[in-house]
Amino acid sequence: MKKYLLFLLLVLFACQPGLRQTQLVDVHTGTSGLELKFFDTNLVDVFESSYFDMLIELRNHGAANINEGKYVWITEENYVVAEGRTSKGVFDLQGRTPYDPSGGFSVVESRMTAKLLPQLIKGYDTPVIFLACYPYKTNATVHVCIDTDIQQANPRKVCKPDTINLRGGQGAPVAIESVEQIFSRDQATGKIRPTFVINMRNLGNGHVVDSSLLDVACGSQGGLSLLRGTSVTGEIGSAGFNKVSVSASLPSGDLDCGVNPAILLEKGKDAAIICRVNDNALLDVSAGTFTSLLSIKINYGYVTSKSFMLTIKKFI
Amino acid sequence: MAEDEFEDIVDEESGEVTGFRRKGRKEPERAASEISESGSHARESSEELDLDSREHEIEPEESRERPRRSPDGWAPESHDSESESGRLRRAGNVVRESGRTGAAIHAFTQSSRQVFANVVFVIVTLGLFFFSGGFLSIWLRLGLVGVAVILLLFMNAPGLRQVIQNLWGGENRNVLRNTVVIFIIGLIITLAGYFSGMFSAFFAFVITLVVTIIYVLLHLDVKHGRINFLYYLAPLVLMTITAWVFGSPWAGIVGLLAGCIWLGWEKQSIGVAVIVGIVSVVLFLVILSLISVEEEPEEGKVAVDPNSRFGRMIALQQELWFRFIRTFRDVPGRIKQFGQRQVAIYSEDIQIGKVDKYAVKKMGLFLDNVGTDSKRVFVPPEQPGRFTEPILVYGELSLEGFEDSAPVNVRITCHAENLTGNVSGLVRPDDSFVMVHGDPPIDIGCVINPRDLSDGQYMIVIDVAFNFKTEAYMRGYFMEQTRLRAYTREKTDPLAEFGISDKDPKAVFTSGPVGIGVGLGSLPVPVAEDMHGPTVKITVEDLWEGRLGNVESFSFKLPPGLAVTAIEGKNRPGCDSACGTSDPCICALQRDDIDSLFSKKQEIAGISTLRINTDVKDAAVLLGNAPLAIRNIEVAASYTYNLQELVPVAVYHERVQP
Repeated sequence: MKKYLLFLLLVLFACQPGLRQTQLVDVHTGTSGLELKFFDTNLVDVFESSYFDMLIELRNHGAANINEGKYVWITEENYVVAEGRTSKGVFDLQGRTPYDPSGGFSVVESRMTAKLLPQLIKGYDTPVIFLACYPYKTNATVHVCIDTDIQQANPRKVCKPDTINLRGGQGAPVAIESVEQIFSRDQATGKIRPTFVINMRNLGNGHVVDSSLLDVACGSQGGLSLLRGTSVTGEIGSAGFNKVSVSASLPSGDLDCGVNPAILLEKGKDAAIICRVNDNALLDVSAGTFTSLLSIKINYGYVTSKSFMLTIKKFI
Repeated sequence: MAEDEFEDIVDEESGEVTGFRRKGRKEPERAASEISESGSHARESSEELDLDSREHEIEPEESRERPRRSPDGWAPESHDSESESGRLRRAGNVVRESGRTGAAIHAFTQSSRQVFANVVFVIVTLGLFFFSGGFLSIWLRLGLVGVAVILLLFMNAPGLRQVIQNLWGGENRNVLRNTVVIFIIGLIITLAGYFSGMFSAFFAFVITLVVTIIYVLLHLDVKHGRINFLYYLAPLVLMTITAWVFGSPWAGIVGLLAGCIWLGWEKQSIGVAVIVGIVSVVLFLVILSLISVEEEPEEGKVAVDPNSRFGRMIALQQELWFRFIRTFRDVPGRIKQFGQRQVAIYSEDIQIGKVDKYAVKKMGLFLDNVGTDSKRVFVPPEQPGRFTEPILVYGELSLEGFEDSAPVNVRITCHAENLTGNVSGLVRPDDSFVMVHGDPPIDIGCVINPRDLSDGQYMIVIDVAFNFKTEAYMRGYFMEQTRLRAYTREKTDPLAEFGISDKDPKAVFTSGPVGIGVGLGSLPVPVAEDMHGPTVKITVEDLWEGRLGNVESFSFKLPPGLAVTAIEGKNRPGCDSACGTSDPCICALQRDDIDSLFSKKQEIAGISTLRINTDVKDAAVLLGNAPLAIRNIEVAASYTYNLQELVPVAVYHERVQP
């Protein structure tokens, strides 16, 4: 009986329909960048006048690498103090790749001291905040339809230059939402100028800052730079907050996204930038209709934080 | 009166309009039919019947109040008798003669005249009752009131004979029979209790009375007899009964409310119920205060033997209501204070803190188990060698203090008070001593010689004063001004960006009788070099039922980098030289400043608030090295607090019998 049973099991489990093929993960999806998570062991009460280690996990869930990200611990210094050399620091993290879909991972540790509580108080809740400021970028490659037949003479085109929706993100907190395609005749040359309206939005949990102001974003001084953004453009009145710089290119060459390719990306709202083909890359009408690849890159700094209430208790 | 308030009366046989009546009110003929139904006497005498119908054809007394209710609801009853039709025609003719407007005026005048007569009668009667105290005995005055009540019934009723007939007629006969049966059953139960001793006969008798009266009030069809004056007595009766039976003013109030609700329902008028309720309370208290249970009753009061059961009941009620009124004496003040406090919180004139949630015990000095064994003291005549038992009010003092905190100095005083004055007592074992954390509870007593007190109700008041300390800690968020402006311009909440959910932190204060709140205005506080710092508001609030006495010392500590420029608009010494440097700024107020800052005139709703103006002296120190600085303000106050407990005592001096 046992023999038959073994034979049956062999037949059932031996006949698999071929080897499973490894599927590569598309890492250019989602709206996450750096994800922060306190270790559960930290979320317990501590006693006054004692040391404890704060551990936080940093994981890059986005598609871009983080180089020279900065962090700082913020505490209520009357009661909790992070040891000097661990109160701030720098980190690097690889982004997600098809071969490492979980992204780069790191643990930041800080030695902290819970100070002596006042004499009459029995316990105290105090916030512990971890603030990270890091450079990030959003890359997207979009199939666009180049259509020089603006008179619509050819009814049988290979594609139509409709608006392209890119919902779901590109593996970064700043996401390209859609690309509109506009084709117009250049009055001087009579050639066709492809123009693209790129709509984007901050879909992450943090806020965007000019990538050159990361030190300021994670430091105590330099608020004026954030207010005026002087270190980027020198233009008075242009804020350093929510600022991203955008570049786009077609196989034929880079697009012209304006003199100042930095735009303000107000949280929760769409922002748009117009990029168009340079004068030297205009298309003849005879070029017809064909598909091409539009490459878009957005550079910015990103600030994200995580906090929790630490309870300090008195020794009774 | 507008004409649309009237509707035509149509003869059911001929279909012609024979008169009119006020809308929603009873037809004239219905009143007559009621009289005809009420007894054969009215049927036999057509003249009397006609007279009665005329009396009611404009506005019968009962019909002025509401339409008559049919057995199954509020719909008017139908009339189909021939005699009623005839009367209807007669009534219509009378009304038509004077015209619609004239009839309306006549009806209004008739109604108003009767109401006016009632009001004048009641006022005159009450006036005679209160102002005849000097030359008429109380019994005579009460007798006069009784006569006045009977006269009032006559004024509002067509005739006493008819009232009696209506009382005995129809369903009322059954009601009265049932009433007698209920009372007899109750009496039997009472006697059973009296002879068996298994339960209180007195209590059973009171219950019997209550049930009987409630049954009568609920079932007796007094409307037909037009003696609905009884309705108005219901709240007072129910209040008296419930207060007596349950021995609590609260029960009396519940009884009163029940009576008022019933009256309001029956009369379909909230206004009547409210007015009668107020009048009932006043009457109850007046009657209660007119009874004297003292050996030597005051002139003009009804004397009751204090040793009799009735006397003891009266004494108990007087004591209960005295305490009850005393409790509510401060209610208007408290309501006003509550309102002021809410307005002040809304306008941020005062700051509210929260008690240290990790303090497992309520801290402070507690006076518990206060009582006396001699609530009623009978003082024997003074004779050589005869000992007089003193009045002893006792209590237990316990301290819940902080470890390592300073000793608590306790001072106790006591006295007996009534409306005329105070008599001091002696405190045992000592009127001042020191307690420290961990001390066991101490029994204290207040001894008062009853010979120092005249007859009457007294409150023995025990005052306990002790020193205590409260500390408070307030977290504030500080941010560089330009950075904050950048956030504001981008319409971004800076605290949310830092993951801070506690955006409006409250000061945490240590457990005790006083609470301390601290406010910094809108957070985060903007910081820049050489700019004005936040205005720090510190509120000291009395949280217990006692009274905050003197503030002995008051100090606060500001974060490093801030300096104090003024307290309540004045430069005051007391802040140390570290203010504005990298060390915290500690300020201790001087004695004179404390006295002026915590004076009564500074209080809002009994709460003192200080406003401390600051300057930023070193922004870098204040901000530290992070984009958001979390800094602390600490406050400490030492003060004297007064507890008070009251115990009612009645004193009676026994007289030597001649």
